[in-house]
Parts: sequence; structure tokens; C-alpha cells
Amino acid sequence: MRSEDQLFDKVRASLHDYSPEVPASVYSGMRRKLWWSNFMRFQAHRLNAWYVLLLVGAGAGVWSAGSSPEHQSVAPQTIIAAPAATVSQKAETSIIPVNTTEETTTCTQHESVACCSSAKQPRATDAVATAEPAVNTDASVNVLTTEQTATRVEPAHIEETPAPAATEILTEKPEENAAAPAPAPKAKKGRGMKVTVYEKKN
Amino acid sequence: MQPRCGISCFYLQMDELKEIIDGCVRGEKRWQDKLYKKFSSLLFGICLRYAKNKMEAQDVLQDVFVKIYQNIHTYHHDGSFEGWLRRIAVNTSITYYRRNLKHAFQEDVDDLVHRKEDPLQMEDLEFTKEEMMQCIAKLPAGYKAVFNLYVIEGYMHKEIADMLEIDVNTSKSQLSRAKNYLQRELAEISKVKSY
Repeated sequence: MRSEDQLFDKVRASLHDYSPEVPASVYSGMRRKLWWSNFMRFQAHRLNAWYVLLLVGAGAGVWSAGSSPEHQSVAPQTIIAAPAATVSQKAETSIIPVNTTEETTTCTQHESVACCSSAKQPRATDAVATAEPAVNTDASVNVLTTEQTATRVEPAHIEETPAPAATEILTEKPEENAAAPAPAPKAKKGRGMKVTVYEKKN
Repeated sequence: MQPRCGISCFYLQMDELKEIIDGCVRGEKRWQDKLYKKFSSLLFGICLRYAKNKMEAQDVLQDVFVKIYQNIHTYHHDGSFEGWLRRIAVNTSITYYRRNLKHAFQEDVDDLVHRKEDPLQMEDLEFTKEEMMQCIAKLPAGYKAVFNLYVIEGYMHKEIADMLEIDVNTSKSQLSRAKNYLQRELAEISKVKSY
């Protein structure tokens, strides 16, 4: 018999039924792998990843179908309510102690929002701005805008205008201004924007 | 080692085995555990022969049992169940090996270095299973795979070449190198023992 065959026979005889001890940790690992493998492959009679995926997909579909009409009905309300809230908020935050002795207030530029209003006189924009009368005697001007466009007012124009009484500068609001007791408005232009000046009766 | 028994014991074992297989086909954990207890050691021995280390062998063994449980319905009692399990273990080990060491076989048969036969005859060599396993574990992965497939599983070089996606000559050279290495190592062990 050749040496090669002898070696191979010996190895084969000794290792064919070689059965070492298996560590206990192998079993738990095998169980975990088996569970995961069963979960990942489709089987009609047991819960698996495909059913979970289907459930999640169905849930997402129901959620999106249920939420979209509601979202559409809420959205317009938000759009309508936003300007009013902005105006009242701006009016509240810009309240400055009013000097009642002064008949005339000087309006100048204040950021991108400007407005002049009298403390005592009834205002044409009460229907829109419900906040307390806010007169900025420190050269600040508040503009009550019901639309989202900010109006810039050139201080030079306003100062040049002879205004014996307190003035309110407003953006165009025809339907609201019509209800106001003030006389017919004069249109002024400041940097390409229309500004309506209301004169008040004393 | 299981005790030797007669023909009645053999049939009893066959019945028990059939019961275990049927239980595993139904996916019952009790029978799966019995199958694991019965064959895990044997299959772990196979995995150890192919793996780089014990940790890798444990990993392969887990995959082997997952495959067995998932494919046991394909076994039709028409051959040796143990042989079927062995084949799964060997194939899984080879898959693992190919995945990890795809480019291990780059040697040619011309590179073979023929060594002189050891003066010690094979009959004189004395070694235990553990010592033999230690020697095999020291072999490079490619040598080990070819040696195991050829010597223990009984595959031909053509089959081995197909399984490992290598050339037939490469398979032959790997086997020759593995044999030389093992002879030398086992001779060393025997010499140490004889002193």
C-alpha cells in the first residue's frame, strides 16, 4: 500500500466520526437565526415580514386618505386668520405711551411696517385692527395691513404733508374704509406704493 | 460514543429518526431540538474541519441547522439521513469559504515542490483525533478545503474543482501540498511521543 493511501486512510478513519462538544451559545444563536429566517421569507400560515409590510402599507394608506381632506379643510382657515392675527399682534407690540397733548404725530419709517394713528380719534380701521390705539410719537409708524405685503412709507412725504390733525396711514382697504366716518381719502405715493392718508376731524 | 446494538435497535433508531424528521417537517420545536442534540456534534466536527477557527465553525453550524430545518421537507427517506446532513454541512462550509476567500487559489501545478518522503513510515505514526485536527487547522484555507473534500468526503478532483471554482490541476497541487505538510507535522508529533 502506498504511503499516500495509508495517510489518507488513517485520517479518514480518525476524522469521519469526529464529534467535538458544541458550545451552548451556538443553540441560542441558531434559534435566533432560524426565527429571523422564517420571519423574512413568505409563509402563508404564519406572520412574516411580508404581512408586516402589507399591514404597514395599508395603515399608511388609510392614514394618508383620512388625513388629506381634513388637512385641506383646515388650510384655508389658517390663511384667512393669519393676517388678522398679525395685525393685532403688531399693534399690541408697538404700543407706546401716547402723548395726548400733541395734536399731530410725525410718522416715519419703522422697519417694513408703518402706521400712524391717533389716540383719541375714532379710527377707520377699527374693524380690522382691534388692538388699543397705538401712536408712535418717537418717530415710529405703524401700518395696519390686512394683506401680507408690508408697506414702506417715506418719512419725507409724510412730514411735508400738512396735517393739522393726527393721521392714519393705511394701505388700501376700500370696503373697510368706506364704512369709516373719515372724509374722502387722498392718495399719496411713496416709492411706487399707494398710501392713503385719512385726515381726522377734531 | 453511542453504544452498539443489534438489528432491533437499528430499527428502533430508524423509527425514532423518522419521528424526529416528521416533527421537524411540521416545524415543531421539540423535534427540532432532538435533531439538534442528536447531530450537532457530528456536524460541528465537519464545520471545524473547513473553518478557519472555532468561532467561524460555530457560525457555519448555525447556518447549517437553519438550512436543515427549512429544507427537511425535501428529504424523502430514500437515502442516508446522516449523509444528507453531512452534505448540507459540507456545502454550507464551502459556500462560507468561497464567500470569504474567493481568490485563495492562485497557484499552479508547476509550482509544486516535491519533498522527500519522511524516513518514518505511516504505520509508525501515532496521533489522536485532536492532534490530527490541530494539524488540519494549521493548513491554509485552500489546502484544507481540497484535503477534506478529497480525503474525507471522497470527492474527485473534477468535482472539487467545480465546487471550489478552481482548476483541476490546482486541486491536485493543493492536495499534494496538504499531504506533504500533514505527513511532516504528524511525523513530528510521533517523534516527540516516541522520545
